[in-house]
Amino acid sequence: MNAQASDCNRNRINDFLSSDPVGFDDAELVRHLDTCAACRQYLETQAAEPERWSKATELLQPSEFDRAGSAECSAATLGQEQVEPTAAIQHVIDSLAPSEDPNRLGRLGCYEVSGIIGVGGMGVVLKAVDPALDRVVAIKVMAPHLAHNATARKRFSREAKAAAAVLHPNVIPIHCVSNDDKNPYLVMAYIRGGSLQKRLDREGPLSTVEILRIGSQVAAGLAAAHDQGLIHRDIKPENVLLEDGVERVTLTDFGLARAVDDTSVTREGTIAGTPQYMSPEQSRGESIDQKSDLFSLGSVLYTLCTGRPPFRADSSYGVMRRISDATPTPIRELNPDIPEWLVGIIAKLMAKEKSERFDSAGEVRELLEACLSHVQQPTAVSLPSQWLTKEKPTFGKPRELLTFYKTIGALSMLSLLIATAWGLFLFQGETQSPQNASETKGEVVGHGYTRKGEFIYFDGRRIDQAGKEDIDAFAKFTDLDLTLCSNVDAASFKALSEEYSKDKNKVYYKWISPDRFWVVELPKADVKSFEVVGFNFAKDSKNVWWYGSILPEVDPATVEIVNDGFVWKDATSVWYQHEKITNADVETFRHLEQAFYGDATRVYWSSTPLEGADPQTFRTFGDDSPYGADRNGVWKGDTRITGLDAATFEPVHQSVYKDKNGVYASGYPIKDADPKTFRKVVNLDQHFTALLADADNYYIFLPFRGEVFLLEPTADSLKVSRQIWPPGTPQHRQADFDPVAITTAELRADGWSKHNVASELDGGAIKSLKDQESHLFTIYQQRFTKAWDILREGTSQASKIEKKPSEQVPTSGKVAAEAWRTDVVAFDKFLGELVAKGRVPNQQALAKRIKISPQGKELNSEVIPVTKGAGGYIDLKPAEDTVQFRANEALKGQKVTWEFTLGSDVIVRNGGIVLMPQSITNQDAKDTKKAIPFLSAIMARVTRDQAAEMGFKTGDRVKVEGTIGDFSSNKGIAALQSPAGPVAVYHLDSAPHPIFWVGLIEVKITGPKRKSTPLRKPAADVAKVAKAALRANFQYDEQAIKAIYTEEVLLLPGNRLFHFGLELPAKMTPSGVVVKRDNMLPALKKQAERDPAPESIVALLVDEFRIEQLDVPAGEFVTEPNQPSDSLYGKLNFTIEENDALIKISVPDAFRYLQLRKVDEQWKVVAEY
Amino acid sequence: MTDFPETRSDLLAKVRSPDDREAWEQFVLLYRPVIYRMARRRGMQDADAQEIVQMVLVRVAGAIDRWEQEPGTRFRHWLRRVAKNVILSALSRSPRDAAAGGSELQELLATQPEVAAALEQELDLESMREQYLRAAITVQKDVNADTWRAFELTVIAGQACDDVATLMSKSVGTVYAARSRVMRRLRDQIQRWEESER
Repeated sequence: MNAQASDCNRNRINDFLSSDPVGFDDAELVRHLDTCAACRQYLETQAAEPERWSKATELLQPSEFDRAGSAECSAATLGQEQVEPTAAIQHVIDSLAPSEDPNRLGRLGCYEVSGIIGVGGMGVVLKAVDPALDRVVAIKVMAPHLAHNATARKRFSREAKAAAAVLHPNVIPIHCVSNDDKNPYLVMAYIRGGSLQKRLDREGPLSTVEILRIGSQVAAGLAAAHDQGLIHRDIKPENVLLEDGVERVTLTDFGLARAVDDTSVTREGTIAGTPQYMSPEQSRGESIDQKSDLFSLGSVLYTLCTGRPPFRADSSYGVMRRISDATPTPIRELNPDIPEWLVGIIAKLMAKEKSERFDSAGEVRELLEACLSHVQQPTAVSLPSQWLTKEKPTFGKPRELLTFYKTIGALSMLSLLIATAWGLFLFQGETQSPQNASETKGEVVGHGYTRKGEFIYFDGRRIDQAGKEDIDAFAKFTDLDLTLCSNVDAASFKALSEEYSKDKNKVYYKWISPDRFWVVELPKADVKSFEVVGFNFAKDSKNVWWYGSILPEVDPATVEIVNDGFVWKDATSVWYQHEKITNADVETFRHLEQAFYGDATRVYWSSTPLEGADPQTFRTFGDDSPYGADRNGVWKGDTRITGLDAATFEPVHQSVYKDKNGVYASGYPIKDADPKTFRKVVNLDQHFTALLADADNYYIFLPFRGEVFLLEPTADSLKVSRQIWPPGTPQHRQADFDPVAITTAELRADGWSKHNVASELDGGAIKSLKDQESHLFTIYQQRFTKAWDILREGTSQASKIEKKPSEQVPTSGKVAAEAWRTDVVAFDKFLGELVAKGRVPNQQALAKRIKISPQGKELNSEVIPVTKGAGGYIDLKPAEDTVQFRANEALKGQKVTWEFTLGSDVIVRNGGIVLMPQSITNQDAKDTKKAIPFLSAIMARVTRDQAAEMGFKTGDRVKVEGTIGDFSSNKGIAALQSPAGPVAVYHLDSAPHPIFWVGLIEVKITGPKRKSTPLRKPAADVAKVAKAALRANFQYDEQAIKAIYTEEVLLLPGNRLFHFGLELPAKMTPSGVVVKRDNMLPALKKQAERDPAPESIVALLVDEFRIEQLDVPAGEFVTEPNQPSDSLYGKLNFTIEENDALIKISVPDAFRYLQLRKVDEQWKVVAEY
Repeated sequence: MTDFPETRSDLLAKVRSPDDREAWEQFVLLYRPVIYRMARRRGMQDADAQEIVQMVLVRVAGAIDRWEQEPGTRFRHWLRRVAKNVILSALSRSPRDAAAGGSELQELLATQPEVAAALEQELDLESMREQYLRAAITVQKDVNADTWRAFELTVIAGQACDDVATLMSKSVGTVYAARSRVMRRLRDQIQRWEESER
């Protein structure tokens, strides 16, 4: 210490720290630090405060989701990303002729290349000077790998020449096309500025004016090109250039996308480049026309409005699926500043059906220009189409004053409760407004229609009145000749489907938007013979109808649906919607599964024939699986996967599949996994995480990027490991290849440890891998734990699981189908309960009407009518795996009863009870197969009175009775909150998992009661004091409060005053704070001022309260858990003295406790909650 | 210095001007990952989380006009406050159309009335984490690889200095010196930001 002390030099340390670490190195100090603990410590405290050190340790830990946003963490892309573009540039630069000017990169033709502007999917864009004209140009050079492709070259030059013919201010001028050199290239004007994408990245969503300005110019450019017969095919923000300083928009890359069509799909079946702006027809690989560009323009406008593309998913495949199936998030949810009419225009541009889009780019240009004038001069120029500005009708719910004040009263009276409960109470006060009983109910016609007297109603509106005000504008918008129905003959009115209906004179079609509808006449339809044969699909003696329009060419006499909603055929042709499938064999054309079809000679994915696939032996693997195989080939969608043994190919789960040689995850082998026994054991959640197994080992599948980890449970940990393969390894082969890295870790009760990556990769790559893996571990820790639990539970559980093997029987798809059937049957039982109440058809009729057809996309895309007369229907929509059961208006008031045995204990929380899948079993199930839970969840918002009585345990028999309330069109969990009262959720336990729910009111849930504290009527003087206390609080009668409360009052947790109490001079006790009454008064006063109770109804209010006395003996009394179920505190402790009275004051939604004690012959409040 | 009125209006002009939105960009840079992480932690998928981020930013941007009407407030403070409210309301609301089934329903119900205070704490922590992370990225670029590694292994990974010295074949003193240097830079960087936020 002494020897070192002489070397201790604090100034030196300070200098060292404030110096530049690169330029200054104090070797002597460093040596000194080797041994001197004091200086080390000084150094560290000088470097940063101790909190900073610990914060650095805490906050710089690789944390969950740090990397999830940055897409590329998969091993397959390690290091590859940056290499390719550079390689492409290098290739192009290498191919340039040397330039005489040393400042230039080289020469291409006669152009002196001075720099690189960018790299795209199909080539490199160079900046160059045209010495002859002394102008700067941009040269697009075809990427070398494409230049070798003769077809691509031919297309490149053909399309480029065509594009060069388009002369328009909004289309980039093409000066020259060269196909002579080894690198084909085209020379364009050089635009100083940036792309629209860059602007979006920089600034986010644009203003309405900017959107219209850019949109109209893009449309103008498109119109010019469309006139030349060109299709752009790749309208996206990157291809829209914004010139510096000038308000001009230039469209680039015209018609060029086509040149790379054939090659843009890589060997692995992924799409190079972004499909985000593709049209649905493009994403399905169908033939396209100019209207495809209109869709893309719509998507671009959407992006400008919201700052993000409309369709997003983790993979190109996912994006493409969403483009054809999903509805993007409403623009105004993301950016409420966008006017409704612009949303309407974009929606029309983005119509899935091209016939529903605008007719031409020219029309769009005109419309957008007109809108732009309107926005710039709103008073001088009106919007082009008046219907676009119509406000949605809004309906307010009347709420009853007394109900409201009862609740408010309960609140202010004892100034209770924490903020969250406030919300809940007010919420209930609002929504539990009593139904208007005098309202006449109609007669159910079906499909949501109701007959009342001489009129037909839908969604509460007369069908011949609804939409009257804007039917003309709507007709113009749809570009169809629409006439609103009139003189509907209610007596003979029949609802054929949700869309089609007829009476004795006419046939009607209903157009529906999310919040409105128009029922129009179909004058060309033949009433007598008109019948609905499929989803939105009908026929009469003369025509076939789809979406309310005639499908030309299709013969009604022989038409037959192949896959409802998608494919049909007649005696001579097969159609994929509007498109005829050429050369299809009508006789034998049939739907297989997913989007696979087959006829005698070919197999198709959608309408695309799979080259080389043998229809005789082609197998599909269920409606959830995009894989198909014959004896020689395996396909994922329309892409062939090579390297697999096709005859033994079998998908296991998601992207995990196997053949006789091995098991593969996303194409990479899972080494040592035994393909013979490899199978899925069980789903670990609804997001495709699953437990897999072979004879020896368990594995977990993570849906993040399809990772599969080997799981090895030890006594106190779960060892996990996986192999990581180098990019470019030939897939589907095991021999001779070794993983590039093996990652391992152990999960213990206290979290992850021993995380290691064994690899020969360099440090940076290992670190990145490790980060990626720990990210996975963090976000999936719960699932890993769940898997571990299952493995630990041992044989009993395991054997139960084993009983449910993954029956991925080829060509069956039965697993999902059967599950669906069982559940629908169970649901049917519930409907049967409704049937018993009359007014609805009997069970046999119902069974007939339930159409269970989980065929292909039907499951996800249609409205399946469940009942005819009951008027309820199940609404299945793509990408919203929620199904709702909407109760028809006329069913309002129907009583519903369920009785069941609880499979597990029940949670009481958040103002209600939740019966979860495990908790409900079918009481009538005799054989074990049917014992699976059929009602997944009942979320019942019950009154506190009721909740207080609930304490259900496994095995209890529970009875739920309720009345069907308002229907609601809300969806999802958010919606569960909004119907008044309890909600029954029906859940189908196979992915996607639809849910049925129905809003019930006045629900009573009964079962064994667990609460044992008896309540009795209090003595008259006690009741009187309680009432007086109530009144005193309402009116803030200071004198009365002083008279009724003891000088010191005990406030229990949960009481809002309790928190005031903490700030006042108060005494803490184990069960609450003791506050001086007079200290409490200001707080009470403040509250009384905030919520003054109307004098006139105070008396009424006071009478509304029920006053009861709890029969508790002297001593410690603890309320049962969850009695004040929404309080932060589960239980309350009262210390009851001899002769004390514990009083419960309640209204249906709230209750409070008062503890009264006789002081000087006077009852006084000593404690309150 | 930045409290002079002209500077303040200058700052506002900066935000309004599309070309130079430094304050705004800094804000976006900091909050984007913060909101994203918080959303992901609530079980949202990547795309949904991105959407929440987008929604929050759009809403905050939409509120910028209102700032002028609050005299005496610094833009940064105001921005943070507005952002905080928007984030809290966006995240405490249950996800729209979330698949409500099985255990997830249960989870959601359990977490529904998320205590605002806890959320706010999380937001503060995440913002701080983001500052540290950003500072770390900057500092890592400034120092040489070994210096950084010494810091990373000892401070972040929590290994003993002696072990790390052996591992890196350096003297213990070097490790101490290196990690302190990094820490100092980190601190300076963060302090600068904190001051500008004040």
